[in-house]
This record gives sequence, structure tokens and C-alpha cells, in this order.
Amino acid sequence: MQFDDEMAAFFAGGVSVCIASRNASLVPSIARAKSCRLIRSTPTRIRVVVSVAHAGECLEDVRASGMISAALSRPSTHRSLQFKGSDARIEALTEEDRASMVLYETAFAASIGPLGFARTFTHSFLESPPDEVAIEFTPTDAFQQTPGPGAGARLP
Amino acid sequence: MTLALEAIRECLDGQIPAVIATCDPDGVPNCTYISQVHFVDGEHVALSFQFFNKTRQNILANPVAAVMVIHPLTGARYRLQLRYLRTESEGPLFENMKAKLAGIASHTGMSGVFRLQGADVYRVTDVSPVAGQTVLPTPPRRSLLAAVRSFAQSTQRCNELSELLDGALAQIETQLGVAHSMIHWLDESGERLYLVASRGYAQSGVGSEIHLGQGVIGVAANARTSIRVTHATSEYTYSRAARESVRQSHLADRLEAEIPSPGLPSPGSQLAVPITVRDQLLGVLYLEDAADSRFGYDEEDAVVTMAQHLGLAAHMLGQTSERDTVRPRPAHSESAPSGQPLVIRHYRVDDTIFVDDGYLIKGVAGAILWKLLREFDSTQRSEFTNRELRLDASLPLPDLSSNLEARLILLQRRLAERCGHLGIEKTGRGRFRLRVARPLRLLEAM
Repeated sequence: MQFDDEMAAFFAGGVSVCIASRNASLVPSIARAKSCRLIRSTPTRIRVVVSVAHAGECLEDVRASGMISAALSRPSTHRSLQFKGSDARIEALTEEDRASMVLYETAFAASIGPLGFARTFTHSFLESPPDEVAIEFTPTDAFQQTPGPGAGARLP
Repeated sequence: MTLALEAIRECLDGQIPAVIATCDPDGVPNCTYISQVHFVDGEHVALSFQFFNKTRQNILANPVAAVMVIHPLTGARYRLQLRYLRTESEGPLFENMKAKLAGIASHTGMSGVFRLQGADVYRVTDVSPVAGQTVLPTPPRRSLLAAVRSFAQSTQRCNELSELLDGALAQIETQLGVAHSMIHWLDESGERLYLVASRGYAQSGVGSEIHLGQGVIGVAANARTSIRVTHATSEYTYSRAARESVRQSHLADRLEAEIPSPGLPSPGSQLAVPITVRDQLLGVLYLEDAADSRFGYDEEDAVVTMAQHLGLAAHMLGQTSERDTVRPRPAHSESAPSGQPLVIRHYRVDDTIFVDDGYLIKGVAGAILWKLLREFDSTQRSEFTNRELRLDASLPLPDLSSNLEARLILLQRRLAERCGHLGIEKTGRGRFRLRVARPLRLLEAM
């Protein structure tokens, strides 16, 4: 899977980020993330930050199964990508994670501001109890999900 | 279920995309943004099926899904647990979602990309708020129940259909703050609707037509369901529907026969609601506003209830209209027709009437006017009753008496707008007088 500078810029460009997992009965669960970034290691990894309270069962499902899907979408253009992994693990928050949340809020506010959402909306939307954790996984599959006939195509 | 689905309907209007999670039989989750989660009833939602994607493959194999929706004003998020039941590819739900999706597509620059193939219906097994979230306060709103109460009361005070229809549109402006509205009535063919009352437009457009199935009004009539569009879309605008109706009609070659339709050029919000009585379609009540997202689920419910009161009141007026009442005659003395003769041309094929080469009216209203003018021409009689029109076998009137009344309103308003030398004046309930100011020259055209 190729993670070039353009992809890194997409991650940093104020995208909406949701994650999904599932329990042992294959019932899916869903949560929104408070930040998302690429870790340019070998292999490249994806690291998202979630609030434990916000994520609820989804966090438990990630912990139990390691299965995760992360959907990223830029609201202004609807460009959307989905990444999947099976080795997700939950980690304590680092200073970099805290910095990423601040950057994320700024970028997300700039991204949805022109669509009519005030800064106060973005702030309260992302606000949570100080209970955040990080989830890191190796993306093994990626899909194009921008609405249209090309949606669902696997990325090289 | 920790919350009632009705309590979070505002999150189900496509203003902020929702997200759906599904899982394939191998245990791989899938997560994607979706443009529309539609409220069906207290236990069901429908999602738009546009493309055969991974979500669809998954729900057909493992029919459970988790959806997160967002309140557009407060930012509150809710999780829905869903179980897939079926896909509908026609009928009221499908038409409703199709019209709304066109608005969402246009709003998000996705016209031509979003195309509804089906409405996927899901049972909602749980609704819960996301824990620990910060929620903005909701702004105060006007009471829709009080608005409906006032509207319902006002419909009971009317003695005539014209008063009822105009009063309804006035109430909508007062109670809901919606300044642009119109009422179309179903014509005797059951294939077209004609505009009988409007409010808030430079041109009344009385007599302009819409075919069933065209635009929000035609679709609402055809599918017998309310259609609500929350964002501007060129696909469903009234003016486009009216233009297409004219293009399809046999009048297309007589361009002057097109009555200009009113309607905002690019309404941000549209709501069309069928007016029915005992499942019989009478017409369509239509509201529009320049701003986006003016009408939500609650406004839709309020206007649907208003339309039901309107239908019932119109029906009751028809039931009692045989009991004629007589109004005092106007004080001014009637003068005999004088001046240049008015040339009235009647086309028998569709009862189209031209006055001095200008198009006036067609159909049943045209037939009624032609009958009245011939009667006046031969006997000088100017006083008429609804009852004699209803008993006249030569007039193609449907059984609903409110339809005759609606035709007379149409005729009266077209004459008032287009021809000052002819007029219809009510002289009591079920009675009217034909006013003729100039001599007549009646021509039967081929």
C-alpha cells in the first residue's frame, strides 16, 4: 500500500474520521475519532485517538478482536477513503497524540467552517471527558469511497 | 431502546452525513458515510440504496448494522442499531426519498451522481446517545401544535371554497411564517392539477397546470404522499414541472395558451402535501421558501394535518352547498353591454376559450363559461346556480361537488386577471351572476 505525501496531506486536511469494529457475534459497532494520523514507519501505520466514553462498545470490540475499519472523508469534496486492519491495539495517549488532537480540531474547523458550522460547533462536537486513548493498526486494505461509480475500488 | 426514534428525527434529514458500520461473514467490519437516513415510523428507518457496494453486500449476508447520526444544530450524536428487512423500489417511501435525495445531491454538488435505486428498510432495535458528549442548546421554536389548532379553527369558519382556500394560505403565512404557497386542484381527467389559489407571488398563476408525477407537487399527488425537499434542486422545481407539463400537452403548439406559473426560481425548501378526503385526492397544498432546511419532519407533520383539515372542510362545504343562500344584490345598477363587441372563440375539442385572440381558459371551466355566455347571448339571463350546472349533462363534471366550486373559482379569477369586460360574482352560496360589459360575438372554432 502506498502512502505518499499527497495521502499524508489528505490525513492532515480536516477530514471527518469514523471507526468501526464488531463483537464475537459479528454485530458491528461505530465511533468517531478525535484525531487521525499516519505513522510513516515500515510498514506504515494509522493511529487514531478516541474518547473512551464516546467510543463505548466499539473500543471494547477493537480490544477483543483487533479488527478495525477507519473511514476518512473530506466534507468539502466528499473524497473518502477506508482503511482496514486486523492488528489494532489500544495504547495510552502520548504527547504527540495530544498535539494531534489540537491540530485536528483546527483543521476540521477550517474544513467545515465554509459549510456553515461555527467554531463553537466544532469545539463542542469534538469535546470529551479527558479519557482519550489511541488505537494503532497496520492498514492491510484500502478502498476508494468517494460517492460515484468508482466507490468501493481497492487502492493499490 | 433507550430513546424513542421520533425524538431524534431532526438528525435524520441528511444535513450532516451519517456513518454506517456493517460486518461481512468473515468478521471484517466496513465503515462508510451515507447521505440519507430516512425516518419511516417509530420503529423503522430507510437508507438510500444507490450503488451495489460493500455495505449492501454485507447487510444481505449479515443483516445487522450500526449507524451514527448527528443533530445539525446541537451536534448531538446518536447510535442506532439496525436490522435490514427489505428494499422498496417504488411507492410513497421510494418517491419521498428520491425527491429528498435530489435536494441533498444538489446541495452537496452530487447531482447526477446520487441516484436512488431502492429504499432499504431497517428495523431500529436501539437508539442511544453517545456518552460523555457536549451538546449545544437548541434555539427556541414556534409551537406547531398551536399553529395547527389555529388553522383547524379557521377552516370551520368558511362558507365558500374560495374563502377556505385563500384563508388556508393566509393561515400558513401567519402561523408558520411561510410567505409563498399555493393550492392545486385535481382536474376531472385525474391526470392534471390546476392552480386554484396562490399567495406571495407577483403573478397568481391561477389556471396553470401540472401533470401528475412532475415536480414535487405532481409526485406528491401521484404517490399520495407528502414530499419534502430540504435543499434547492433543479430536478423538482415547480417552474420546471410546469414547463414540462405544457410541453407534453396538446396545447404546446399554442404558446399563448401557457399560463405563466408562479413559484420561486430556486426554492431552498419545498413541501407538497396531498389534500385528501376519505382516501380520495382533491388537490395538493404546496409551500416553498428561499432558505434551505426550512421544513423539518415536525413542519411536515403539521402541514399534513392542516391539509387533512382543509380536505375535510372542502368536502363538508360540498355537502352543504345545495342549501343555497342569497346575498343582497350589489347596490350599483346594472348597465347593458355597450361598446365594441368582445370576440369569444370556443374550441370544441378541449373547450379552450380565447377572448379577442388572447387565451383565457380551457377544460371544464371553459365549457362552463361557454355555456353561460351562450345562455346570456340568447336569453339575456345573468343569474345562475351551481345546481343547474351540476345537473347539466353537457358539462363533464366529476361527482365531487368541490370540483365544480373549484372550477368556478378558477374561472372567476382568470376573468378578473385577463378580461375586465366579463366577470363572475357570487350572489350567495351556490349562486352567482355573470357580468357582461360589452356586446358578445360568439364563434365556434374548429
